[in-house]
Amino acid sequence: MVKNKLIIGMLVVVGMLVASCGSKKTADVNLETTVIAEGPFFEGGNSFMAPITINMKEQVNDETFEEVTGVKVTGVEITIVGNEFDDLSIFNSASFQFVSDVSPMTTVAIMNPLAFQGKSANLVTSDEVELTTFFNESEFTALLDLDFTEYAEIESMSVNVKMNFKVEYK
Amino acid sequence: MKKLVSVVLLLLAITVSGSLIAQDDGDRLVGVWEPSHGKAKVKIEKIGTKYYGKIVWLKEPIDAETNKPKVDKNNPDEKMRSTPLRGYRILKDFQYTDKNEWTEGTIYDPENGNTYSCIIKMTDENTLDIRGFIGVSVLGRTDIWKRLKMPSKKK
Repeated sequence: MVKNKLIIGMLVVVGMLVASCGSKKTADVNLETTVIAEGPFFEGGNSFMAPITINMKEQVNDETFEEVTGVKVTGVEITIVGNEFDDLSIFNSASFQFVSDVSPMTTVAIMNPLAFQGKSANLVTSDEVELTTFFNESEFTALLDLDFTEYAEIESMSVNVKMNFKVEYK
Repeated sequence: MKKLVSVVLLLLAITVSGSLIAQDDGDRLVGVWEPSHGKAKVKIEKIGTKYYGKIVWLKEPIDAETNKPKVDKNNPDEKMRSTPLRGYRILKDFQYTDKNEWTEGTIYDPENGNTYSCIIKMTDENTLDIRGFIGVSVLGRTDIWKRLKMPSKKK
């Protein structure tokens, strides 16, 4: 009798675990922003920023959405906007981060040296980066550090950033 | 009623000016600082409401093994190891606490790839005690950083 109760109890626990695993869903989330910085630009790292706001319910197109449980970055592409630079070799390397008042600054992708195809470069994304809190905050800042090989006297500059994520949610 | 409104406005003014003063106080951290080993210079800046410090100068910028500019070769995340050290943010996420202290931040040691909890204390306008620790601040090490003074402009 006691043995039967134990088996039933264990089955209930296993059932609950299976149910909780089953309630997780995944979606591809694509974000795009244009980060901006005021010049002049000095030799070394120059920071470009832009706020990002995400409405996850709209992004995953699911009315039952409660919260993000995991995020994996799958791609980050940067594109230099404008025609100020004929020679993109002035850009040495790039590091792309998320920043917010709540979550610690997190590096999402880098590239050193930068390899452009046209005016775009696909950065190397991190496998280990933890972005769940940013997606649950829904408002944070995109920060691109572009390393210049020399001084450039330009009033302002923009870089378009396309990001792809695999998001797990419940 | 008039008296009550005046009191409320006065309290509001005190609160707002107090928070503005606290903000300005925190911004005293902004500038270029040199750790005691003299091997690097770190520029501290404010992003949003928090303070961050990045390496802007290295005494030995070239890696003797590769003959190329130094990179973050000890980063625990293998894919991030090509990040250049010049420009690297080693101080992150500091918040001002109004006691000449900036807390809740971390310091990264590129020599071993470890990140430590960190408290910054300003002992005078040009000196910082930077205490890195694991767990509790008693178990840690303090380094003294000096503010790099810019040469005054010639008139």
